[in-house]
Amino acid sequence: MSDSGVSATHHNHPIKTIREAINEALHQEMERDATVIILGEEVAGGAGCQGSDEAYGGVFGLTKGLGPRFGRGRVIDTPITESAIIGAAAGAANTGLRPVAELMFVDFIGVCFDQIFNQAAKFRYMFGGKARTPMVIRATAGAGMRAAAQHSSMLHPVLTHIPGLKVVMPSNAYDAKGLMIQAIRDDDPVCFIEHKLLYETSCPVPDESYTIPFGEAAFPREGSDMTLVAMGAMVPRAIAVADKLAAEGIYCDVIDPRTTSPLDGEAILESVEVSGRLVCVDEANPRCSVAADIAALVAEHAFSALRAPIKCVTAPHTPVPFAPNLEDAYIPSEERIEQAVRDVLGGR
Amino acid sequence: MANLTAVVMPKWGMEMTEGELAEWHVALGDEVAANTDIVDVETAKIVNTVINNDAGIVVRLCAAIGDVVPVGGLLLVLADGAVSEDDIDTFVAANSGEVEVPVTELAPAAPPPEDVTTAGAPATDSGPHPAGSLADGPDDGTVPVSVVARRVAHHNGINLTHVAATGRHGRVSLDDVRRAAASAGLTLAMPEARVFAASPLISDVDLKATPVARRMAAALEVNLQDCRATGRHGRISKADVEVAAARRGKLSANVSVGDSRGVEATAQDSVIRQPLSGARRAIARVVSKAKQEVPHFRVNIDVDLTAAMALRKALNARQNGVNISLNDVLIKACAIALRDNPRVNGRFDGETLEHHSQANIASAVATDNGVFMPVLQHAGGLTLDAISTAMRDLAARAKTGRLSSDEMTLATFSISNLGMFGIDSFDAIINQPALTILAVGAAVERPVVRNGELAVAPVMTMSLSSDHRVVDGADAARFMANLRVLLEESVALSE
Amino acid sequence: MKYSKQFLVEAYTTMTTIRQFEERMIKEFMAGNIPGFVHTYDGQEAVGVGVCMHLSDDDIIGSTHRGHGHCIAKGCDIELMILEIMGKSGGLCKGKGGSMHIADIDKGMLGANAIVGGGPPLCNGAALSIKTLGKPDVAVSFSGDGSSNQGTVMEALNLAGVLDLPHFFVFENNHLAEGTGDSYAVSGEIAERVRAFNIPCDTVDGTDFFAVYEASKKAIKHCRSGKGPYGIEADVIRYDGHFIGDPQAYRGEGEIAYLREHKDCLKIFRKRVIDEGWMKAAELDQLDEKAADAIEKGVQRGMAAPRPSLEELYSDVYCTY
Repeated sequence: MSDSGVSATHHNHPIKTIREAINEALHQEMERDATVIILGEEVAGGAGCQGSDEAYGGVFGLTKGLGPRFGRGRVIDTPITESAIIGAAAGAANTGLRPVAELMFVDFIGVCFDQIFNQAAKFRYMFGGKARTPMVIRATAGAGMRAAAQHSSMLHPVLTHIPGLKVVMPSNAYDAKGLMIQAIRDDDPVCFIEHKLLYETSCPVPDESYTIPFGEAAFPREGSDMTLVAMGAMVPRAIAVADKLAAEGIYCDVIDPRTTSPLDGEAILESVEVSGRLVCVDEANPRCSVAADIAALVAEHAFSALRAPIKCVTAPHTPVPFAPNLEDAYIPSEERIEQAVRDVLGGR
Repeated sequence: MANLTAVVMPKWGMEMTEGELAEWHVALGDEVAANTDIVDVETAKIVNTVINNDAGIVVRLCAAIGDVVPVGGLLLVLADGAVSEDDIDTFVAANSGEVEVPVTELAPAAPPPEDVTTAGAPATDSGPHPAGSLADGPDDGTVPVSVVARRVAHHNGINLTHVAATGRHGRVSLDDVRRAAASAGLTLAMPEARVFAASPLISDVDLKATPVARRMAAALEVNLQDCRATGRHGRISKADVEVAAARRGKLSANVSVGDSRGVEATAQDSVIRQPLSGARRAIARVVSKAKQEVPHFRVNIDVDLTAAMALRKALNARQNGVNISLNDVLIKACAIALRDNPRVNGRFDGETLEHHSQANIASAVATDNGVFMPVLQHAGGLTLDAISTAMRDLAARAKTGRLSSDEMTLATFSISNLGMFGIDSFDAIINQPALTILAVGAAVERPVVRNGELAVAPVMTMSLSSDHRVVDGADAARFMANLRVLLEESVALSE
Repeated sequence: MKYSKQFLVEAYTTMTTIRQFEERMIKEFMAGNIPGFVHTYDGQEAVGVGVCMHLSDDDIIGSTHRGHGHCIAKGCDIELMILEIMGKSGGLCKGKGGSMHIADIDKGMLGANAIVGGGPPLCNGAALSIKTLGKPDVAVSFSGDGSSNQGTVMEALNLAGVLDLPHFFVFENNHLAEGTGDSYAVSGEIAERVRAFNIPCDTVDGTDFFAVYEASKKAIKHCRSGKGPYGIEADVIRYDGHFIGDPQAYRGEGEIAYLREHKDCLKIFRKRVIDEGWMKAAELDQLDEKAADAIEKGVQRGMAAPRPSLEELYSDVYCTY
């Protein structure tokens, strides 16, 4: 998988992985703002254990170094208690803190969804605009690690459906850092979806702090022949397909929305108005997915611009399977994306 | 002359005003592709690399390592073909003026430049279009703009500093560019829409398909991956291939998707989905409206056709070139009965009721596009010969779609005859706005009682549907009784 | 005299305001002037007031379905509450929350909560803010016997214990979770559950204002001094249905009449202060009338107020879009 989505102007910055970029963002924001706290299972690590406190930093190491640097008062190890984690974050966000809560796997929203969608997401509206809930829910997501059905889901469509939540899904390290800093500074609850397979992908990332506004899509590739929308781990695959087609003289707009809520629908519609063709790629299940949502958006608002039927390339409507060959078939491949693009190109 | 393009000092971030050249990545005479690293530039904050938008040959380096160049200042010149040193000098002179501070308000109208590639905005493709008053302006590289709006603006030589921004988060949207162009009297050229051939990529040999479907797909160059499998046990059927092929425009015109005759009868369920044709849509609309709005009532009667058939036989024995059908005889009888029963002859649109002295009789004619109801006007005054000739003409024209509007719409009475299919009796839906419709079944040998004795005779069942809002039961009954007498006695019909 | 006159007047005023407020809301609901679902607090006034008499606007409370009483005890404006409950423009939540989501962040009222067991995890968060920011405040969650069966409450107790949060867990056991009795639905004792998390928990007669007040004083002092969470289980009664309009077919014959006669916290309060010679009946009656006048004024204002403008449908989903 190639590094993705970063324009050439970032060339001279040091190369960092998404893991390093997010960790750097957390460090810089905790340094800048004493109200930023982190809580979750093993975010510092080792609480109540005999080993070293400094060593761990979570199962994926995203919060490594934060505990020793900022202390256990601000980097809080919790029991395995997702409802209490999210509830504490939501309550703290309404009373003066900017918590970053970690869900080890996004699949675990099942046990704390009430605190996310009935509490955090609705406070501002229910309380007539008086509440502010500046919290971030970091969650790892995605298939490809042979982790099977309960540790591999892509649930951003479920979260995108909820008014009051913002949903962020970076596809590269540069975006991950800028989006995380924005997420922490944002006054609304933000679900920050980190694809496990992307953690080790890297690209140039400035050392200094910067934000990327929500609801503004990135165009890692440009072209007027096709609009290819992809999210998260699908972005590098879409870019690979676009590059292959570019070698044949076929040019695609590859659009990475970066945030599915708010969604930069304007950028997608504009691109389709020029290209007349749309392929949506999303690792989530197909029904009521963000891919389906974008397809509907285009069908509703840019129908007359379409030169061919829209195609969505998604996972099948199944849980994530365990066996490696089945999981590989589950995740949209470059071949499937390329086939869909060629089908739509050949439509008319 | 070849097109020249400038590579200028970019503006990285709000605070950058100038940059120092640190290292060239290209040399004079190099042919460079678009998006090549050109030169490293050091600013107060960072070292970054300038990238070119256009491909071309480096024909002039305009600054040296260590030079401090203001934002927008010329760094080098690219050409897309042979070019003289004089032309380069002219181009450099035209691009080396004072670098202006960007202004965001709409600039006053300026005369169109001689060559838009010399305008502030570097053209991003090979097809620049003169943009009149929108072309000139300061560097627009920092104007917040959506990616597509930027592309279209620059494709059209429009400087974004002239475009009022109303898009998301205050950026210039494609609509903003459209509006700016329209108010400047420009027609936006959009990137050309190109057509591509579909190339099968993924092998479809593992997919389940009927042998016929697979053969057809190969012939039509359809990849079975592109078909919906609606056949039995999830197989792709011939119909599925046809649908996919039609979507690609690969099916010849004479095998339309909707033509069920193109589908082989097999044990499997072949579903063909299609939008309704215009004519069928019209029929659907009229029939639905009549069925939903008009309260129908029906009266039935059996008619002994012995006399009518004898009359037809006698007339056809004349061999005058006219072949009178039983339907012609029926039309004649109806025309006379309608003259005597004007309350069932007319039109009602829900507001105004018309009773006509003339019988304008519509008869159902089946065509490939559905049922038509051509109207025989003023049938009451016509002889059977004239009725027969006129009906043949109407039917022929109905089948070729050459009926006049009056012939389609002015019915005061209608007949639908399904006797040729052996149907005994049926109900018809009123052909609105006519008041009534007669549904005619087949003439079948049935036992009848004549003068107290059982006999066998050709008998036909007729059913009259009437619009009960304006036709009473007695009106319909009288008409039907009258019609039966006319047909059973047949004396008046030969007039 | 153990309590100041001013203290007694404030306590009784708040309790009688809540009682009359709820009785009026029932009346207005029956008259069709209040949309939706409304759950009343009448009968439990001694708990809300006994706890909140210790709190300032900086302290945070999280409430339940039955949130009007906690709101009033925490100092929310009753006229704005009535506007909100009637779904009118200018309500405490702009007419977008209603009875079940009534809240006033400025008063430290983190909301009624229409999810049973929804509040305690949130109050942990408020307590976490207090602890992290080094404030002297306390977070108080109100839960019922129904909430005590929710996993979220068990998780909240555990995390509060693990992190030593200044969180006062108040369990108001009115013995009815909607229409199911605690003798059936609560296995064991609520206070024992709290103690199992190594959190001290006292049981108290929730119909006796003074008992609640004294128990809360001890608990809140414990929380404010950084010793971690504390709990009380208050034994209370519920007069009205789970919601207004609930026919209460699950009640025993004469049960409610008995409760009104013997378990009414206002009657008990009046008897105590009169018997002790702290206040006269006439003084108390006067406070009743004053409260009634304030409620009448609020209802009149609520009836006259317009509905929210249609733009309110779309606003306040996000801080930034």
